[in-house]
Order: sequence, then C-alpha cells, then structure tokens
Amino acid sequence: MTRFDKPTRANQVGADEELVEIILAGQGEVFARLYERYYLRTYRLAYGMTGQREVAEDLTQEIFLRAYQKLGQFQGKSLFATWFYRLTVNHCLQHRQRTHTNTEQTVDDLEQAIPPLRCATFTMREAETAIMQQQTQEFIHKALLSLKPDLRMVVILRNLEGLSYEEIAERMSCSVGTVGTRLHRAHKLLAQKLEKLRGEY
Amino acid sequence: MRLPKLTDLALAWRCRRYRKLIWRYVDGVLDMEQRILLNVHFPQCPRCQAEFEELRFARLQISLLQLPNDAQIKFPQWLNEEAISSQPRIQEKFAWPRWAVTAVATAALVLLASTLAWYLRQPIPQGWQVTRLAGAPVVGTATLVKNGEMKVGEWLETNGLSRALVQVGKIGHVEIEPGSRVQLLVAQNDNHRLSLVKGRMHASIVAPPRLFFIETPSAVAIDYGCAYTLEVDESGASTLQVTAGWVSLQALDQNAGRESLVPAGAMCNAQPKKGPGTPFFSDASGKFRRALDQLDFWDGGSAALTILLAEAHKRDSLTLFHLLSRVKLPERERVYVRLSAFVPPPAGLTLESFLRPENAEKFDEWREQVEFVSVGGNPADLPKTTGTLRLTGTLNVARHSHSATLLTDGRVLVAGGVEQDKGPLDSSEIYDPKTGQFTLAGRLTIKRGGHTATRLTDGRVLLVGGGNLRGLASAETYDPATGTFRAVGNMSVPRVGHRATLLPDGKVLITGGQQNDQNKLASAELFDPATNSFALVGSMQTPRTDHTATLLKNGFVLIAAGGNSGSFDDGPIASAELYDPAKKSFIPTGALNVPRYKHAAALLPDGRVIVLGGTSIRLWEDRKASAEIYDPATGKFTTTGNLNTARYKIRDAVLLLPNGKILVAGGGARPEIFDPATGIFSSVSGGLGVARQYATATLLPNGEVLILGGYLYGLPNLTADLSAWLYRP
Repeated sequence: MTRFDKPTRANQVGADEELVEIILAGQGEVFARLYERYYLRTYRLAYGMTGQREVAEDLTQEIFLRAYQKLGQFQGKSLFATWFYRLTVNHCLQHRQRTHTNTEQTVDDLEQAIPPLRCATFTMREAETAIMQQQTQEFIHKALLSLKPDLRMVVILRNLEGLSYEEIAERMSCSVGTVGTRLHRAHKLLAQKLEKLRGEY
Repeated sequence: MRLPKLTDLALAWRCRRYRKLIWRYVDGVLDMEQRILLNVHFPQCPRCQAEFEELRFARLQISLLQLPNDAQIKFPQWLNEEAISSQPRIQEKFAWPRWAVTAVATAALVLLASTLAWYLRQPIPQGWQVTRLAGAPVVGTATLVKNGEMKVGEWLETNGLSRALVQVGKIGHVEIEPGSRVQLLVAQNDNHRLSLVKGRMHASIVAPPRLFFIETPSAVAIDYGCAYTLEVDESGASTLQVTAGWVSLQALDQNAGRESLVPAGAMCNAQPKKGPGTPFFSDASGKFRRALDQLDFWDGGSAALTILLAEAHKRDSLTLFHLLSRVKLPERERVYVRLSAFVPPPAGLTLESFLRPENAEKFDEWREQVEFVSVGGNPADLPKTTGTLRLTGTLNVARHSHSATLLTDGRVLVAGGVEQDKGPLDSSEIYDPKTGQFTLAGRLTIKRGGHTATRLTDGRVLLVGGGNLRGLASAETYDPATGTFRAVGNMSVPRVGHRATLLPDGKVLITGGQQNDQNKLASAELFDPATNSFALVGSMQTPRTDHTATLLKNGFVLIAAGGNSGSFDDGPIASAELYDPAKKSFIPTGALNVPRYKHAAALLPDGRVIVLGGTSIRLWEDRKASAEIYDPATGKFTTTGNLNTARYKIRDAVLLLPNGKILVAGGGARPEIFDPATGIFSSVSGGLGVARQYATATLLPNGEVLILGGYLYGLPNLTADLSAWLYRP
C-alpha cells in the first residue's frame, strides 16, 4: 500500500483505530476526524465537571492536545474509545489540582444559589418559570460541583451519561464495587445539599 | 398486648443486610429477588425507607441537570500547528527492569513495616473508667483501690471476692463478677469492644445497635440496645441470657457459622469452634434444653429432634423457627408441622415453598408472628399489611391538584389540576373501570387546579374555585348526560384551599380558603343546585385555608385546623368548629392536639372523625405522622396511632373503605390502612413508587379505589405524572 492511498481512506468513515493508524503513519490532520467524533462527549463531561462553559472549552482543548501528543502510546490493545475516555477522565480529575481553581462550592455559595421556590399557589408567573428553571439548573450543578472530583465524575458518567457500572469502572480504572460505593456516597451528600429544592409551594 | 420496642430493634437488626442494597435499588440495578426483599422491608423500617427516598430524591434531581448538547465544534488552531510541527510517533513504552521493581517494592514494604511497628508501640491514651465494687480487682498490674482507668489492651481480673464496674465509653456499663478475666480491645465511639475470657459479666447498654461487642472464645455478642448477662466457662463455652432488648450472638469468624438473634427472656449457648447455637427461652424444660444442646453441638440428629419436638411449648416457637432453616429434610418437615401447630404460617406458605424468594414477604410475616408469640403476644394483634395495589390505565395528561369524582354510572371524572409548572389545566378525562382506560373528555370553562369537586344528588359534578393565575370565584357543573361543563353562578369571593361538603339536603357548603396569599377567608357559602347559585351563610369563627370539612352523622360539619395567618408562611391552627345546618352558622368545638395544615380527615363508621398528617409550617420537613380522632359526643380530639409515613397535601387522598377501615393514599410512597378497631396504621403491599403530593383517591362501586396523579416528591417544578393505580382491600 502506498502512502497516497491513505488520504482517501481517511475521508471515509473508518474505525477509530484505523484513523489512529493513519495519523501515526504521518497524516496528523486526520486527527480532526477523531476530534469531531469525540468533541461533544468530551465537552459535556468537561462542562459537567467544571460548570463553566469557558473553562470546559479550555479543558476540552487540553484533553485533545494531550491525546494527540500521547497518541503514540495507544497500542491498539484496547479500543481507542476506551483509551481516550480513560485519558479524558484522568485529565478532568487532575484538572482542579493543576490549576488550583477551587470548583468546590462553599455552603454560602449554595445558599445564595437557592432558587426562589416560594411561589404561591398557582400564582407562579410564566415569565418567572424560565428564570426559575435556569436557577434550578445552576443550583443542582453547584451541588454537584461541591462534591469531590471522583464522586462528581461517577455521578456525571452514571446519571447524566447513562453508562453502566462496568463502563464507568473501566474509565475510572476502579472496581465495579467502588463505582457503586461512590455513587451511593455521592447521592447521600447530594441529598443533603439539595434538600432545599424539595417541591414546595 | 403490644410490645413496641420489639419490632423496632428487630428492624435495626435486619437493616444490616438491606442497607447495602438500597442504592442499587434506587439506581435500578438490583435483581428481582433482592427488590422483593427490600419491598417487604421498607414498610417496616422508616429508616431504610427514608434513606431510599433520600437517595431517590438526589438521583431524580441530578437527572434533571442538562449537559449542553449543542456545543459548537471549534476546530482548534493548535491541531494545524501541531500536525505540522510534530507528528505523534509510535513510542516504545519504557519498562522498568524487573530488579528495579523488586527493589522499590521491598523498600516500600520495609518502610511500611517499620511505620506499623512504631505505630503499634505508641501508647493509646483512650481508656474506660473502672470502679471497684468489692475486693481487690486488678487492672493491668495495679490493684484497684477506688477508681482507675482501663487502657486499650489492658486486662481486668477479679478474684473470687472482688467485683468491678467498667464504664463503656458513654453508652453504658458492664459489671464484672468475681473470678473473671476481661480485656479491653477497642475503645472508640463507634466500636466498643471487650474480650471476656472467663467468668461472668452483666452488660447494660443504652445506645444505637451495633456499638458494643463482647468477644468470648466461642462467639461474639453484639448489642442491639439491651441488658444481658454473658458467662464463659473453663472450656471457653459461653452462655448468653438477655434481660432486655436484643443481642446477636455471632460466630467469631463472621463469614462462617451461624448468627442467632436472641430476644429478651431468651438464652443462647455457644461452643468453641462451633459458634452459637439456637436461641431458647429460659423456662423451656430441661429435656428440651438438653435435646437442643445435642442438636446444636453434638450431632444430635433425629433422636434429639424427637425429644425436642415432644417437649416444645408454644413459647418455644422461636427455637423451632430458627431450627426450620438449620435442619435439613426430612427433619425440616417435622419442625414445620410442629411450628405450624403453634403459629400457623400465612396462607400459601408451605413446606416446599417457604424458602423461595417470591415468598420472602410471607416468610417475614410468619417470622414476625413467631417472634411476637414467643414474647407472649397474640399474633392477631400484629399489624398486617393489607390489600394490594396494581397499575391501571394511564392518564392522558399528567396532573396534580386535580379532582377525581365518581359518576353515578360508575365511571370517574378527572378534571383540571396542574401539570408541572405550566399552570392549571382545563382538560378533563373519564376513567372507565370496565376497560381500565382514561379517555379525554370535555373542556372546563376555565383552567382550574386546587378546586373542589362534588357530585350533586342530580348526578352533576360541581367544580368550585381553585386557581388560575389567582383564585377563582367561578364555579361550573359537569353534566354526565351531555359530557359538557357549564358555568353556574359565582361565589362572593375567589377561593383556593377551600372545602366543599355535600349536605344531606343536597346543597353544598363551601368554607374558608384563601383569596390570594394574603387573605385567608372566614366566610362560607351554600350552593343551591336548584338555582345554580351561591348564598353566604354565617362566617366561621376563624379564617382558615387548607383545613378539613367533614359531614358528621348528625348533619353538622366538622371544620378542623388549617392555616390562618395573613403571611405567606401560613400559621397553622389547632382550633376546630362545627357548622350548624339549622342555624346556618358556626360554633366552636374542642381543639386538636396539634396544629395542622394541608392534612386530611375522614368519617369513621362509628361517627367519629379521624384527622391525620399535615404539616406545621409549609415545609416537607415538618410533615406529621400523628393522627387524632374527634368524638362528636364529647367534642374532643384524642391522639391515636401514628402513620408509618409522615404525610401532607393529602386532602383528597384519604377515604373510608367499605370494610370500615381508612385508606391513606397520597403524600408517601406506600398507602396505609387505618384500622379504627386497633388504632393502628399498616402499610399496603407494594407502593406508588415515590411519594405523591395532591394525588386523589376515589372509591369505585366494586370496592376498589382508584388512586391517580399527584406531583412526585423530589422533583422541582412540581412535576406530576400519568400513572394510576387500583387498590383492592
């Protein structure tokens, strides 16, 4: 097979592993295809972990850059997806330690973020509703951000991305039992933090 | 006779194995058998149920979080640059040489070992107070004169004449009798552990279960909140005698051997290397006890069992129950037959089927009866789960704060209500019990939620007030003949949180409610179906909203509690009053024991009224489990048994069943049945999945109850759902 065959293959939808092969063979720009495939999933995770769009975008870029640089270490022993997700998870978990930006919220922050749920019986105005939903989202996300990164990660992977315990264990390099324990612990903490959201009117 | 402590403690014991499963249940990854186990367990254990609801709540909330799905893919600049400047290359992974790995591992081990050795040599300051009671007890190497401290690892010895009292942290004390040898193993707040090598001691512990442990050469005694005596003889065999509460006797190796839960009044032996035997009551006959000893420890077999069964009395049911799962067929059959004679098993629980997982519920029920009988109770006094729930058709529109009214032809009109935060609805649907389906029906004249619905004597349904963006003064009727809604006269004021009561003369009494957040209403009016109009009657003594109004057998209407202060955080009140139909005015009557708001009330068959649940301020956290009964003869409220689950927002979900019991359907995940004869609430088998607020319960002509709608506990924006159930008593 000559070198000139490869760009044509890269233009087709090939398996991730094939793309890696092509990139490593010298077609660096083919990485853009992997980038497209994995961008949204990576961005969602980064956003879930940080709660800020700009930070999440930066983090996503860092992850892809790192994946690109380390691509040579991918030896095809596992699926590319597995390898990439592990890298993503590790990078997200390390993110806080490296930048020293404290994403863990204090209780005061949470109190300030409590949405005004004290709306009267059926006097809830529709205009307020949209704002309330936004605030509810922020409130839930802040509670999530107040968890330690490893707990936050299992919650995002399980509750928001709907992965199985086995898949999570693989990405976080831990046992299935640990995933369950972490989920249990995370939800106990979340229940306390979200207490004030319980439906009232 | 009822022994309240008994079940509480037994529950704490069971929770041990359930706790681990709860999260997996919430997360939907638990297998069927274990789900059954938990379903049986929850109604009996408020703590596990609370944990379940808490986790479920958190999971629901988090699932509402939306991660961005629409992020623009920005093609990164660096990719071009990197791709040009430095291509990734296949890299040979650097592998550490084997000798280096071994060297590092060895170094780490040595470091760990020396740290551990250093740590173990450190004195641990914590210890327990010891007081001399008699003679000269020795702690460590020092003879105790008056008071002293026993440190972790130290021994306490009493000779033939001395006795000592050891304070077990802050949770109780242990009295050491003469001739004993005791070592303090662990002194932590969550783990108090002694070793009794020989002698006798009396423990008295007031603490949550599983904080205090005594190890003997043959077993571990684990405290479940109790008082007991533990004795160890020269051979290392132990005897446990429980005087109050429960104690678990476990094999030293937790994974091997048996575990015996010993109730007050019972005893249990343990042998070294064989672990604990079967619990028995101290008044069992000598022959019974010797036979049990043979069975437990010396391969007694069939001959011993024959003696045991012949000697067994009703009180020995507990022993037989334990033996049931310890002996094998064909002996098991003999135990089953004998035990069944003392405490008949629940219907359908046969010898062949009692260990099957689908019978877990019945097996638990049987065990409870046996435990109850063993402590002298009558199984008929035990609260039982009653009735069953099953899903029926699905609503077309999710609703809470709606109304569900039985029509004369047996169908049910479901009208208005609120679907999530979109505001009230003007749709209606009809449930047909024959098909089990909901069909959309006519539109209301205006959107209503939190209104009242009353079936008039002419078959029409009167819908009154409720909320749109604010309270409504309007009313309308549904005519089943035409299937349409038609406006009738207006009330004098808009009302939400009011009550409507059909009077014997066919008129409808509308009481209280609120005009808006600020104005609670004392006024009342009568709807006359003949003229389709409202007329004011005398006002109540106190303005109130979200109260209850119950027609008594004497034609008076009992108005109980409610919220009355002008502010948003409605101050709940305890007062009650009666509507006198002759004078068309209200007179005061006895007050409730507790102020209540958003509670429910129902007329009992004997003419009294049960008032239950509610909250004291607006919060979920303050919802009440208490209930009280109003007696029209005395005009007084008397407290009765508590609900198993605290509930509020249940105004239309509580009703009298044809069997004379009261169904409480909303506000919690599992409905409950109140039996006026015993004053006890018991949970219904199965559940509504999650607590539902402002659900409705409607009695159908065939005696079943249609339960539907409500907003799901834990979801913000008061998300209602589509499900509907049938309860069959």
